[in-house]
Amino acid sequence: MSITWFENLVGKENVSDEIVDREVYSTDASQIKGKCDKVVWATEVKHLHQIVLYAKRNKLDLIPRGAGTNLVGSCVPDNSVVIDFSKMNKIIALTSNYVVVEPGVILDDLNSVLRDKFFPIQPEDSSTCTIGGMIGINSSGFYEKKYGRMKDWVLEVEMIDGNGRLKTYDSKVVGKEGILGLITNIKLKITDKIDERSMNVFKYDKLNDVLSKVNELKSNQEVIAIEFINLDAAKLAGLEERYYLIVEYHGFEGGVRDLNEMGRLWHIRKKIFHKLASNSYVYLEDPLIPQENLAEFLYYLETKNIPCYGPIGINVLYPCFSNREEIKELYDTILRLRGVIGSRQGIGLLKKNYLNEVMKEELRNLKEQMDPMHIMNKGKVI
Amino acid sequence: MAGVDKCILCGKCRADSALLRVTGKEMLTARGKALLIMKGILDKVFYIDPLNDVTVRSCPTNVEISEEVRKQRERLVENGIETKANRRMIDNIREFGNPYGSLEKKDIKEVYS
Repeated sequence: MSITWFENLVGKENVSDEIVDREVYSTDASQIKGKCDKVVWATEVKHLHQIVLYAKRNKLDLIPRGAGTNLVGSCVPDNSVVIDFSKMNKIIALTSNYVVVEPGVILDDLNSVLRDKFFPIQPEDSSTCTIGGMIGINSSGFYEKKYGRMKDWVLEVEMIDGNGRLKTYDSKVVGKEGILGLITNIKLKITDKIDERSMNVFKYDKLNDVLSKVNELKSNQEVIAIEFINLDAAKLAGLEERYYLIVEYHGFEGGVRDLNEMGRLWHIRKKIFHKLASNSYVYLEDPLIPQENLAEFLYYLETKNIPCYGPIGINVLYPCFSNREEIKELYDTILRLRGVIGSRQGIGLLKKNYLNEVMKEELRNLKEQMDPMHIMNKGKVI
Repeated sequence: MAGVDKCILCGKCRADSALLRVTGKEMLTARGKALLIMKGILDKVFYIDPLNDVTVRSCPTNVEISEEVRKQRERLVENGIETKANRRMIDNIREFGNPYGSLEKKDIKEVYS
């Protein structure tokens, strides 16, 4: 396909088929390698509209891309045109109860303008993740126990679907990993900033004690986050070799109330993956385990010396691996325990075989309505 | 500190990339440059780098991309691939001892970093 058509539309500075660009956009944080035909840096909705219509006429594959930090290959191209939204990063409107943003806005940039307001979906990579990408995987965060996920905070999503129709949708298009269309504008609910916050760190030597405490904390309405670190992860992170629960409260129930000290505790939690990755544990999984099987799963990880951390308060854990081959056995265990593979980091290419049939059917129906020519993120999720 | 073979492509370096902020271009991030180095692609893009170690702070595997970029620049020069500004800067240093040329003229038109 000719680059001239794209250059005439978006300008030479906003499209490239040079080897350096095609190479860096051929993959994402999943490390799966694809083939990028060209890259377009999105700047205007009218351009995106024309690109979708052109792609429809010429049967091109379009890959929307935010930060490219997903772990499942959601942005891996297949002779595709990658649409990078990094330049569509404006905060368009901010009121007392909602904010309107372009999809390339980085979460921390949004956080920095909210002042006395709060957007409660706060994943640990808030300094890199874009709002568009968060919509794509229905992002979660530290505070899911109280505030839910991205779909619970989306009021409107403006999107150009695969038919070339620019429409406004509700949260039904959240979590679809770019297979329905290109998001152009997002309206999110915001809430009042929490002034009364506190934290506790609990340390244990026995897993049973951890589980008892987690059960107690889950029923506490003041608790908004419960994060777990297991023995192997603690050891690799340079912490005392014990089990940890890092807990945040909406209110002053926790013993740590100094904001700087709270920031330090969250920093330790946010750096766990860094510490594991620097010890070669670079592959992260995100299973959801039913409450009744959580203990068995944690004991399984312990037996295998698999470092693990994550939001145990919502029954999600992040076991980490140094080798992808070891993950197959984990999947078998998750399925045996009636858990969900790929519960928080998306499905993409890597986990599509594990998406349940009910969800697949729902997605196929949506795909037929909104992208019948299959020009949006071909081969992902379903 | 580690070489680019340790890059896991996580993209956490994007948080500290001033060049990305200005341009929106992935190839100017540490991850982008690591990918090019791994692929053996020698390009003038390696001249566009502040050569500071800011992105190491956010890198989980401690990839010291600045050192890697410095090596690529050496390879570029060895292969005769230079930018005009770079060539002029080197010539000025050799002739005048500074990158700007004759300071007596007081008409510095280009600033290099």
